[in-house]
Amino acid sequence: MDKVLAKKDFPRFLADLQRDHQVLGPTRRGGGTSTYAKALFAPIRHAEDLEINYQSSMLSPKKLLFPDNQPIYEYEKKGGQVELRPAGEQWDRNVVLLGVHPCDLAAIACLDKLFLEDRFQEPTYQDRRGRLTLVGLTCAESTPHCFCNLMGAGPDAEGGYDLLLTDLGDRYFTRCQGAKGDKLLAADYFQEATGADQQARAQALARLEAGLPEALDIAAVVEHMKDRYSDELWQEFSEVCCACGACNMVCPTCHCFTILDRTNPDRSRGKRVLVWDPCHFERFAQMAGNASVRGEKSARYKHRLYDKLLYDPQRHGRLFCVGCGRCIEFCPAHIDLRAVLRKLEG
Amino acid sequence: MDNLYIPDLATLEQIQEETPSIRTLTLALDRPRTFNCQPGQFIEFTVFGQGEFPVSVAGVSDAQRGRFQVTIQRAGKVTKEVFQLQPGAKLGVRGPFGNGFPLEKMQGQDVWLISGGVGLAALWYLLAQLQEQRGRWGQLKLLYGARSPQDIIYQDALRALGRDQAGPQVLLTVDSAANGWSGRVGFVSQLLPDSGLDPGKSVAVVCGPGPMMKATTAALRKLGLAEERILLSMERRMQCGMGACGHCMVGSKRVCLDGPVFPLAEISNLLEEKF
Ligand SMILES: Cc1cc2nc3c(=O)[nH]c(=O)nc-3n(C[C@H](O)[C@H](O)[C@H](O)COP(=O)(O)OP(=O)(O)OC[C@H]3O[C@@H](n4cnc5c(N)ncnc54)[C@H](O)[C@@H]3O)c2cc1C
Ligand code: SF4
Ligand code: SF4
Ligand code: FES
Repeated sequence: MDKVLAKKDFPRFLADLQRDHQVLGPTRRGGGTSTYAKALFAPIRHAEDLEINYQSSMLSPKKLLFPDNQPIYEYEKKGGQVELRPAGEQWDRNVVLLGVHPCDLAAIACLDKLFLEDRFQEPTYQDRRGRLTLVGLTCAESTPHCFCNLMGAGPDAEGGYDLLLTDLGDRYFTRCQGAKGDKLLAADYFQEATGADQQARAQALARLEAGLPEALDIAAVVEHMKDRYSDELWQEFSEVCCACGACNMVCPTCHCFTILDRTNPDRSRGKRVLVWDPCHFERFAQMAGNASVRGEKSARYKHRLYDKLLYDPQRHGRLFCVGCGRCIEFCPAHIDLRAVLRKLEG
Repeated sequence: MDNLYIPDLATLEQIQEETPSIRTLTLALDRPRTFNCQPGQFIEFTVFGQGEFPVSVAGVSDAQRGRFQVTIQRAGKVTKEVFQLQPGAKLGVRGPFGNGFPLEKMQGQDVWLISGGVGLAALWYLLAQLQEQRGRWGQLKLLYGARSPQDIIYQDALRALGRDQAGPQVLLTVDSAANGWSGRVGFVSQLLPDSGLDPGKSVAVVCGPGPMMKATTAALRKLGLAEERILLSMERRMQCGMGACGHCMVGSKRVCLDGPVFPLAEISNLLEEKF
C-alpha cells in the first residue's frame, strides 16, 4: 500500500509513534567533541532531535540490536557456592527505528538470517527484534563510498521494513509492508498516493541511482572467487592492511564476537560480557601449537570477504555485503572494496 | 527465554591426576538433566572468575544424573586454573555441542583410533561405546602417542585394555624415553605402516595436535585409505560453541556446529594449512 505524508504532519506522525514506542533515529549527537560529525542512532524526543537528512552513520543500527559490550550474566562466589544472575539489558518498550537507509535495512535482514533463522537464536537480538518496528528512508544523496546498487541492496529497498519513506520535497512517499505498517498507515494524515507521487518517487530514485557506481557483475565476482582462493591477488589487496579491525567494527553485517570476564580484583564476583571481535585480529583464530590458522593478514582479509560473499550466501541465500561503504570510508589504509570487486570481476 | 550463553552449574566430584599437566575431572550437574551426549561432542567449561573453554566429553558415567568426565591439559590462562580446583568446586557447563562421530558409518568396519597427547580424551568416550556395542564393528585398534612415558594418560585403563582379550589392540609409542621404557619410540604416524590396516574395510579416527594430524593423514593416505574413511576431530579456537561467534571457522565450516568431526574429504580443501 502506498501513501503520502505531508511534511507539516510529520510531527503528528512522530508523536503518535512516541505514544506506544521508544523512537530511535539519526541524531547529530555524538559529534560534540569531534570535528568529524556523523549521525548517531539515538533516542528522539523532539522532531528537532532528528537529523533526518543524514548521509550516513559511522555505526549502523546493528549496535542497537546486537550491542557491543553487552552483559550476559553475573556470577558471585559465596562460601563454596556460585550464584548466577542473567544480566541481559532488555528493552522495556517497543521500539521504532526511524530513518534507516536501504543498505542498513538489508543488513538487518542479514542479521535476521544469522541470529534468528540459523540453528541458534541469539537471545538479545531475538528479544529486541521482536519489539522493533522499522521505518526506512531512501537516501536523498549518496556518499562517495556507497555501492548498494552493486550488491542489490539499494537505492530502493525491496523489503525488510514496515514503512519506507521517500522524501519528495514537501511530503514523504510512504510504502508499507505487513501488518505493523498497515496499522500505522491507518492514521488520517496519510493520504492516498497519486500517479504523480509514484512518478516523483521513481524519479528521485533514478536520480540517486545515477550517482552510484557503474554496474558490476557480482555473480561473476563470486564465481571467480571460487577458484581464486590461492591467488596472489589477495596478497596484493591486503598489502597495506594494518589489521586494525575498523572495517569489522563499522560493518553492519559483521557479527563475530567474544565473551569475556569483567571481574572484581579477587575474582569472586564479575560478569560475562559479549564484545564484538574483529576477525582481522591475529589472535581471533589463534591456537596453541597451530599459530598458522589465518596467521597471515591476507588470509584474514580474504576470510572476511569469502564469508560475506560466499559462505554466508551459501548458507542463507543472500549476499552479506550490502554496499554501505563504511569499510571503505573508515579504512586507514584506504583499501577500497569496490576496486577489489572490480579486479575479481575480470 | 533460555539464554544459551548462561551455563548450568556443576559440582566437581572427583579428580584423577593423569600426568603432571593433565587431570580428569568427574562433574555432576547440580540440577540433574539428561546429559544427552554423543561420543565426539564437547562442552564449554567455565571456571568462574577466570573464563571458559571447550573440552571434549571423555566419558559419561551417568547420563540420567548428568555425571560425566573431562580430561584437561594445562595450556594457558583458564586451563591452568583447573589445577587449583578441589573436589566440591562449583563450575559451569554449557552443551554438549557439536556433531559427534558418525557411528552408523563405522558399522561393520575395522576401526583404527589414532591419537596424540590429550587428543586421546576426545576418542575415549567413542572407544567406550565401540566396546559396549562390540558386535557392530570389525577389528578395533588404538594407536596412541605421547611425548614421554610420563605423559601417557589413562595408564591403568590402557593396561587393562591390553589384557582384555575382547578389547582393542593397543599400540603405544612415545616421542622420547629415558631408560626403563621397553615400548616403541617414535611418532604415532610411524606405527601405521605395520598396523595391518586394510583400506578396503577400515575407518580411521584421528585426534591430536596439528602436526600429528598432518603426519597421520599423510601416512593414512599412503596406505591407500580414502579421504571419506579418515575422520578428524578438529580443534579450533571457540567462543560460543553454537555457531554464532565466527571464531572456529575453517573455510565455510563452523567446527563447533558442522564438526568437530569431519571426514577429511569434506575439509581438506578448506584448511589454511593443508593436511
Ligand atoms: C572441540 C574442542 C575440544 C577440546 N577438547 C579438549 C580436551 O578434551 N582436553 C584439553 O585439554 N583440551 C581440549 N581442547 C583445547 C582447549 O579448549 C584449549 O586448550 C583451551 O581453550 C585453552 O584455554 P586457556 O584459556 O587455558 O588458554 P589461553 O590462555 O587462552 O591460551 C593458551 C594457548 O592456547 C591457545 N588456545 C586458546 N583457545 C584454544 C582452543 N580452543 N584450542 C586450542 N588452543 C587454544 C591460545 O592461542 C594460546 O596459545 C579442545 C578444544 C576444542 C575446540
Ligand atoms: S563489507 Fe563494507 S560495504 Fe559491505 S556491508 Fe560491510 S562495511 Fe558495508
Ligand atoms: S579497516 Fe582497512 S586496515 Fe583496518 S583491518 Fe580493515 S582492511 Fe585492514
Ligand atoms: S565457536 Fe562460535 S561459531 Fe563456533
